[in-house]
Amino acid sequence: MKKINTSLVITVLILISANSLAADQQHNLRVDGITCPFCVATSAKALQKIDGVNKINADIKQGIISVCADQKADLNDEKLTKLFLDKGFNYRGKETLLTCAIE
Amino acid sequence: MSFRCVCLLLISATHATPTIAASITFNTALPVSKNEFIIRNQIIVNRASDSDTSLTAASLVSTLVYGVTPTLAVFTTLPVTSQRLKTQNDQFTNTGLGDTELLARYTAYQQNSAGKTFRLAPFIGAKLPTGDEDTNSSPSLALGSGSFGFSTGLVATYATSDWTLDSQLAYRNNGNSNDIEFGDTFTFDASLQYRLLPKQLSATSTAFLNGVIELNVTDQRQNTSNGVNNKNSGGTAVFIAPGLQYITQRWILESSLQIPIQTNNAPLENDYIARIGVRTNF
Repeated sequence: MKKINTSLVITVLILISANSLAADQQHNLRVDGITCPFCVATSAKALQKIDGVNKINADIKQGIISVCADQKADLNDEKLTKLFLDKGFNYRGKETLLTCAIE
Repeated sequence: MSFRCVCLLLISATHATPTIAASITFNTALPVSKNEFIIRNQIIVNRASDSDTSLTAASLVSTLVYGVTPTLAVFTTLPVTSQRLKTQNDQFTNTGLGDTELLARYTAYQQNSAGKTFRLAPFIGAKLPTGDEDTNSSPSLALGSGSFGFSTGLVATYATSDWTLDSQLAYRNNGNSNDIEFGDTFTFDASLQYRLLPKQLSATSTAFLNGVIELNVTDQRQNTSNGVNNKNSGGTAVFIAPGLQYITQRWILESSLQIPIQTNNAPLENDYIARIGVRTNF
């Protein structure tokens, strides 16, 4: 019985760990110059082309574009700086949360 | 707090290229990203008259804009016009291609902050005499000027999430044709676009209705022929143009009515200029 319980615990831990690794992270990108949803849309179109990006939100008043992506998504600062410059905006940095809160 | 609500963009539901509000009566403020196109088609009805004569011009004006780089955009504008001159006893018409406009705009200064942007962009342009300047009836019915011209100016945009102000100052040399030296033109245009609906940005904001008010001031030197000024040319014209823009993620429907406040020296006084158009990005 003790052996079964141990196996169960290990299995659950593995499942939790795997789930945690597969879960999306949320990157809150600070972007200057966006003034309307349509300004965001042009950047969102480019962001969606990055492998692993799943959801995108925007808070226009705060100048924040939130991106939920899996951990293999390449969202490095250099890439994001160029992406937003091409769209006429300025990327100022990002904050990364371990879980995605975008519905 | 309500104004600080998150505007949820369900971008994943669509691959639409965005469209962004801009002035209706002038093109130089149209925003375009690198490697993207904008096409704007407007039907413009321009009516001028005096006590016994009227001239009505209905044009389909197509403007194509391409973003060469994030800061350099090129524009081509091509009008097709049908004109009708009515006098007490006769009626004349003329239809065809008008003069083509080419323009390049460089965004020289851009100051972005959270939810705001200010952009300043000089531009240069050329007018090609693709419209026929010869008519069998009246010079008023000419579709083109017959002259090459060039223009230069500066366009400024200040935009927030609630409103946008576009303005431009421009100079145009109108060239000469058939021994007529066309007077140079100076223009000032301003456009205020204010979001009427929705009053507050929300997660379900997928379309906007903008109220628009524009001012157009044009001052033209008189035309000269063999050193003699044509008194029926040139002068200062001022228009005010209320309008509306319905904006979706794929296209913008826009309309305005330019009402003359002051007319220039042309023999026929402008009654109105009405516009309705559709704009899309791709």
